[in-house]
Amino acid sequence: MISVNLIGELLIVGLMLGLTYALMSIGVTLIYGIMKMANFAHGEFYMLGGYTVFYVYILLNLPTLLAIPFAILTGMLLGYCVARFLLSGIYEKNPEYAGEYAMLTTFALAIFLQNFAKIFFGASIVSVPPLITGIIKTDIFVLSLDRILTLFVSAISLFGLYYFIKKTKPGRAWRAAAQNKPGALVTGVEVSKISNMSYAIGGGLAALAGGLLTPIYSVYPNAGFWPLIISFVAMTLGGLGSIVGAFIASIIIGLTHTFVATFIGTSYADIAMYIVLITVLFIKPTGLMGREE
Amino acid sequence: MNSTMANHILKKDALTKMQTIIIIAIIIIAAVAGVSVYFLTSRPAEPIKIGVITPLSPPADYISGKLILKVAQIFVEYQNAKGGVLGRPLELVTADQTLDTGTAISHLARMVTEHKIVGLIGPWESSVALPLAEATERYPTIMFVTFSWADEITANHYKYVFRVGVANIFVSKGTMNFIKWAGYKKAVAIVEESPYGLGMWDGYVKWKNELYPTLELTKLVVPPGKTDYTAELLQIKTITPPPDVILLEVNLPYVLTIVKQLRELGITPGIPVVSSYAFPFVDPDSFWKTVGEAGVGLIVQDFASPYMKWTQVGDEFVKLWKEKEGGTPPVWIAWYWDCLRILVKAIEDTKSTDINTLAKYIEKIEIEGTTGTIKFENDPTPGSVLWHQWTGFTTYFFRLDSVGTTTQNQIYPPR
Repeated sequence: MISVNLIGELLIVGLMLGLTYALMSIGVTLIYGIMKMANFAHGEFYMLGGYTVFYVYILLNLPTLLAIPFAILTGMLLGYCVARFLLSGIYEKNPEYAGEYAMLTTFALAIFLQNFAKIFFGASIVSVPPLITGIIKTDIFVLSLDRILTLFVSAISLFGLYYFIKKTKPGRAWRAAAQNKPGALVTGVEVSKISNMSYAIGGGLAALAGGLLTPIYSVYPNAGFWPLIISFVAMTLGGLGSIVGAFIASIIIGLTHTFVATFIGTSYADIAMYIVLITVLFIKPTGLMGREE
Repeated sequence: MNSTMANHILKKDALTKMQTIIIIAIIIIAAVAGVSVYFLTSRPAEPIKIGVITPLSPPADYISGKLILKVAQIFVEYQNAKGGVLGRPLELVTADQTLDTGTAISHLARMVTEHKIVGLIGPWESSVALPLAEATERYPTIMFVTFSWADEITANHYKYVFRVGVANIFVSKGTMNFIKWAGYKKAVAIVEESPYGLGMWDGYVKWKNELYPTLELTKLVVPPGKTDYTAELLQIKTITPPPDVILLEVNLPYVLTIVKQLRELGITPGIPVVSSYAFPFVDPDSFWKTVGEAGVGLIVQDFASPYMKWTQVGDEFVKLWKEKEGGTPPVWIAWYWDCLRILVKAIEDTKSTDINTLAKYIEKIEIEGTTGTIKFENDPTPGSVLWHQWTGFTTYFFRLDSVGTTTQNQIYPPR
């Protein structure tokens, strides 16, 4: 039976899911915005963030919350190395098709990292204790404090990134690199450094998402698959490269998922996400916030 | 050198007729003596070979595979110490099953054609065990499975394949019997969108109609591979009046996420959750670390209990296992012991290693196993799972009463 309480709970759960998806998709959107490349290894950065939190917790015996900075560092460091040593050569030597070649390189990297995780971390699922123990229970909803923290971090990350890009001087250089590479180069913007940094930050954000969500979802070698799918759908629905668009798209996906699963059927929840995507692209081919070239 | 001199030397060096006869006689006598010695003196008997194709490396379940290989090694050592079979020693031929069907079948082909194995144990994941069973039609050998649940393994009526263990259809029957006994009236089944989950659902529908027609049963399909199931699980909250039991048929690792999220949404512990698959017992330590308090109250089905009675054969095996490996063996390991005993008894009683002779004998065998008498159902109705299928196992249900517990609290059958 449909009650006001149920609708309230669906809205809150949908919003919560949407913000979680936003946290997953911000990094991949940022990388696309600067490098014009779909980062297929995004899910593996997410997975490595989760494993970093797990191993810091196990080996250093630190509280889970304190392991999060290690996850971000791991993601950023690996991201920088990948961009500097694997991708920058492609952009320098083959600028015409750099995005395509780089995309396929990240696809290979994703498979490599998954197998690396299987061999070195094992195929089993692992988890860590909550970042913050406890739940908030009302008549309408029950939410764990971990979820609330994740939502909070998701909102902060999005706002921080948005502020950096829109309001700071280096951010303007990033925007210039994203909008017009040759023009930015002429004005002295170091596009290659910006690309490397954007990939590093994207990797760090994915690892942050993995680290924050491991107490909720657990981690295993293929754990990055679903975040990757969600990220791509959110990025495309929002408009390629638009961080605000990805955020809005994530919220739409979360709410669609929740309402369709509840009122139509769980089998249709995923299909509905793609129906929304196809419909929006049919009406506005550049996505919700995407701009025409 | 002139020709007269050459003829003289040739005559001098050539064998006389007598010498030739003597040499030929010596050669014949030596050959006869050699052959006689070869056939009359004792030489090592040719071994009877048993194949073990089982997962020995990840991502297949190599942990179970290593136990299967171990039980086979213990059995061969045990049987050879008793003089082997028909005076011939047993010998194992082993191979890593992997999750690749082609690899597993090529191992089978090599074992049958090159090593002439008479029997095969160890295939584990149904996705590989089923094609291997099919392949025994081309590469005949007696194949045993225990814990490969796919109904088709026996329902396809393969000539040489026997299951000393459970099939999906019996697992869902066990759960239906339990929920009827427990008095639950309204159930929601969360089933994974996979052959396992949907197969279990089909089983539930069949057994509900046959055993418990008044049960209200709702299906909730969830896709495997997601990280968040809250949207799907919320549907349970829309059911009025709410269900009094949730049946959970989802594989690892996603089942762990669902257990956690059911608690997070406040659906459990109010509504009990029953799983037909004893996933918490696969790696209890990892299970409890992953789900914590959310696992408390979970009810799981298994086919062994710390309170069950082993037979005399079972006691002997458990003692042997404890000596060699330590701890109590999982029940399906004991069933592999039974498979090997069946094979040996068949060879001894028929005095044959002919595959067809052995298959015919095993169809009608009756032998004391580790957990009870083993005999096979042989219903010839096409599609019947009861073909070369043993059904003498017992299903047990355990409630996990606190973090860290496993099989301490057996709730069904009541003790």
